[in-house]
Amino acid sequence: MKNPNADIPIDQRGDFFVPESYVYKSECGLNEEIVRTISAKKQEPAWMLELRLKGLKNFVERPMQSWGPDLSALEIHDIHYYLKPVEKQQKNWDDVPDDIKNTFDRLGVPESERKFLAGLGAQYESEVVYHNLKQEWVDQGVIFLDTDSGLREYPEIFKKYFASIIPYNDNKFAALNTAVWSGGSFVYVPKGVQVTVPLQAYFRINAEKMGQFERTLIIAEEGSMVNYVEGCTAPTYVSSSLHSAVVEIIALPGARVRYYTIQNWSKNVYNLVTKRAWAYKDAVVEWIDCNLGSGVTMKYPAVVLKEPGARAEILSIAMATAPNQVQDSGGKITHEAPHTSSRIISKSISSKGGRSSYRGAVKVLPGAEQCKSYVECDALLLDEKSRTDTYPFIEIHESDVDIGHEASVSKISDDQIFYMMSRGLDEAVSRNMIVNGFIEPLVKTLPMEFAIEMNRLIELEMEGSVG
Amino acid sequence: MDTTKYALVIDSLEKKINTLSELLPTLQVGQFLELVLTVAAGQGIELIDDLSEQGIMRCKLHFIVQEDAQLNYLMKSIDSDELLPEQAEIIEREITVTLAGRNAQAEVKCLCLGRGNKVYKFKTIQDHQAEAATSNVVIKSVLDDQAQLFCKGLIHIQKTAQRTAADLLNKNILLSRKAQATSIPMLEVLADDVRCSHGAAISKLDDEHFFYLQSRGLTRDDSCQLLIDAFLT
Repeated sequence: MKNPNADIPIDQRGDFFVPESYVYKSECGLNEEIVRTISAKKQEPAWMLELRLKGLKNFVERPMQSWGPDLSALEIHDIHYYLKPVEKQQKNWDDVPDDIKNTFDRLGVPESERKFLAGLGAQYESEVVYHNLKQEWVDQGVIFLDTDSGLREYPEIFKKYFASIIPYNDNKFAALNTAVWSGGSFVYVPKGVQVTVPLQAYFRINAEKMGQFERTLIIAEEGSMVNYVEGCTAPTYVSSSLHSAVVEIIALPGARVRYYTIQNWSKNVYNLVTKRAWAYKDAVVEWIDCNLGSGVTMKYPAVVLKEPGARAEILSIAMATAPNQVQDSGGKITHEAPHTSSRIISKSISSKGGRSSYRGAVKVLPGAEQCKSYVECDALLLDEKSRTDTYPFIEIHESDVDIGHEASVSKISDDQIFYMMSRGLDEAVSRNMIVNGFIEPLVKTLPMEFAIEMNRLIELEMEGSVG
Repeated sequence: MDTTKYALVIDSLEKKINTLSELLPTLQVGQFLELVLTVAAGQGIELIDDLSEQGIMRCKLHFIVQEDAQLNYLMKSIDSDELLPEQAEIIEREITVTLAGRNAQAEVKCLCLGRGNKVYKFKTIQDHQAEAATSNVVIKSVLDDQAQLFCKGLIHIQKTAQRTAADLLNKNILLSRKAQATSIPMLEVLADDVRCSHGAAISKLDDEHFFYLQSRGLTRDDSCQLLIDAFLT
């Protein structure tokens, strides 16, 4: 079947909406009653309600952080915190209501599921409307559910790990997420199981003034492997929406977890996300984080290296290509154990009045000897209206370590353009090729299908930047 | 602590000043110094701030470098083997370099060898306001015993500062497990035709270098001294 959306330019594919329909929608604003209603509607155990209320209290009491992008335009009282689109989650696309099914069809989600995914979860507003894992993986004991079902069906594993990596009082927006979380993915990979094809979750905001607060928990048992991809879009409205997710990953000894994000929210979305992983002995955690959309993004995927031999890699691409768009992204690594290594590579492109910042931290705690960490951040600045910043924090408490940080800022030089044009290319094509070459080291780590999509998206974001 | 404030303008021809007290004869040891030094258009100054020559522990220096002027600032603080400071000793330098005129050039270099409970605090700002200026800040430290270093450096390129070249480098060698280094090199770039880089590195002395020197007959201590000397240039 042909993707009905194939003829629409790829960057506009997400920019449409269908009429709102829902079985429950909370009033604008946030209070204890709304939190209690969410918990009651989900029929949650008492401990979860208690945790939600603690999160709410912390969110309300805590001041807004003093650093980073300006969030003063974000009206936290003018947002719907919970919107339940359908009564029941489906395992078959044909049972999903037409409006929603068509939405995901237009985004090409079911198509990619058939082609190259082991499992897919599709979240629409606050709830996951479709969730399926191919039988092959169910047979091997892999659990891939939406987070609410995870809580109902596997309460023991859930309670053990939930909020253990990112506690309810970690930061203001993690507290908010703890209070009103809904949806997200719950992934459990048993010992030694290698999930060779990726799992995907797709997050869609359709309604106006919507808050989406998904909560993802990934547990990779000893020696297992899993790749997880998240994608997200929303239509453009005048008023802002808020997306504030929390993602927790536990990589037990020898496990390997790779988490891809292709973030393409519309420009009216505040994207304030907390992501953290714990890596035990010889485990490897990789965050591959592509931020293309949203109005303001604050996201610093983190890895805590808990035991010897653990390794972390964070690859980050940020494109701030619209006036006043802010991409404040980066990565955080904490070396808690000796013989651990990490690498952060960040590439950012700013044009047309956008601002991209790298904000990162590398910490080596006492006792974590023989660690190695390398941070590289390169920024490309395409016009004089745009801005780029680098804020790396490096804190080292051990002598026998090898830590390096390098950053550079440059523009596309006339020499490069001259050379390409002397080879017969026009200026726009030359610029595109140089930009693609700049981020190529990151794009080539993506699975094929995403790499092609990324290249096309970047081409479109770059359109009209020749001046 | 008393604060003494000075504002000086360098407007004579190229000058070399070997200690801060030569520049500021009335300055007394132990005072907190705040100095605003303007290097007038076309002039040059070479200023050496060596802590073995004078005892200005904490100061705030603001250099304003005008059109075509040059600033060369070298800070040195080398603790000897024998004379270990007993209590925590804090050396603080807050250095702001404003590149105020076209083609201004600034070179700032800080070299430290800290032992005992020595604490170094550096805060540097490279404020590029004018076009075609260059600035280069290098902070190198060797830290032994419980010595600590905090280094926060910012390169700020304003919209008007096109064709800027600015670099910031902080390299640290830790000789003991209790030594500690924190480095925060920051970049804020608002102009598009610039070349900026910053780097930070923290490590120990390289074993292979030791091996080579020892294979040439040097003792471990001598090799160590030689490698430190080579690093702190």
